[in-house]
Amino acid sequence: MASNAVASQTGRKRVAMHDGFLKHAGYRWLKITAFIILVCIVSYIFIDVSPRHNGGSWYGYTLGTIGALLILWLTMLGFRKRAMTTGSWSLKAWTSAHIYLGLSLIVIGTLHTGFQLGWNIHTAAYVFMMIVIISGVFGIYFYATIPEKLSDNRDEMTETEMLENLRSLDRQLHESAQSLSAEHATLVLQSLEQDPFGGGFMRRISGRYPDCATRLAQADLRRERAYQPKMGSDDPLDKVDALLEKKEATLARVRRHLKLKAMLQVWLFIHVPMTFALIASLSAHIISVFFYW
Amino acid sequence: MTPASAAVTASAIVPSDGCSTRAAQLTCIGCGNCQRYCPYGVIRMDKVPPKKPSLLSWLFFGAGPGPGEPDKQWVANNSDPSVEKAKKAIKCDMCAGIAGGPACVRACPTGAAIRVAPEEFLTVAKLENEDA
Repeated sequence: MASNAVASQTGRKRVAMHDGFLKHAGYRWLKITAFIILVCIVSYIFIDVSPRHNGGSWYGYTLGTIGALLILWLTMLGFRKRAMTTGSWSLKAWTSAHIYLGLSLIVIGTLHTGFQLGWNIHTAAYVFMMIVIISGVFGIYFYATIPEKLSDNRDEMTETEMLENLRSLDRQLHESAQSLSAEHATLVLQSLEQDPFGGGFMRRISGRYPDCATRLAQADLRRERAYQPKMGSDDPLDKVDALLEKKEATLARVRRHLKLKAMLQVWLFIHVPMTFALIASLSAHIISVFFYW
Repeated sequence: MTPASAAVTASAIVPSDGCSTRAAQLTCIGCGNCQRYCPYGVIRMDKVPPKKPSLLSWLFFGAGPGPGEPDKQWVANNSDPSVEKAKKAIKCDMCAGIAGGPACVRACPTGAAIRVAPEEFLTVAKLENEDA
């Protein structure tokens, strides 16, 4: 197992190999979070608050203060990852702590409410918090599963090489289409002129491009030639057909690549704006609580 | 003599810890030989960029080019045209002199980037493949 420590031949200190953000330091932050959750649940059960648990009791204020400070600290990840200062910090450790402590907010926040929810700014802050956490869970899933799919799909090629491959196929198609009839050349030209990755968010994230000119050109050519006799080995349409097939395969690979890359980012478009909505509603929640003390 | 050592006119590139070299900024005369002869293409010549606005002023007010290396356009727009700075050799020196170690490893959020000594590299790569 590669994540185990490997002892070097020279007897130098053992070096920890790839260790993901979930497993970081032997699940340190998972253990800490489990402890925090346990303490919260046990104390919630055993501490008797009259008339009932609510956010305004001393216990509710304690959980609320911890939760609010935790939210501010979790937001700091965005600053931390951009501030390349010297020192012995590691962004992986921060990410690991961000994930597990962020999940602990589900328990801290819910117990802080005392299960009293309603149509007000306090519940709005709670709902925004849950949206941020749920989008974060999607983020964890994407970060944990997509890199492997990206590697499998790339097949040792870089994005630049894939695009260069496409350009090369386009050049070959352009050359091969010179000897075709005007009707066939138009089909090839459609494939050459179309932006194969344009069309907006839904196409990018689904990887489906229903009006792909390359696929349509190939389908048209094949439909037309299905009942025609073979012209022999030097039929230019055979070459164009083979090139279109190669281009379609390459396009499919690049589209999968772009889809996976988009999925690595798309959840952040909910996670980050909702974090700011959370901080705004949290501020309103805190101010209103003290205003109407 | 390796191509790299043949290229160093002013002895500005020195071995640091046996597995990487450093370009000494004080003795580099910016001749560019090291960049031309480097078999791995890791050396490039560049000027010291002008100071960027702080991260917070970028975050809140969009000042400056943001985190990371500034782009060429921003450097050109924000350099003092009356002061001519020499281009010097830049290469990865494993963040020598920074207590926390290589910044690329520290900046990786998922643990994908690690630093491995050359003698351990094949062992690690083999284990990773077996694991996959």
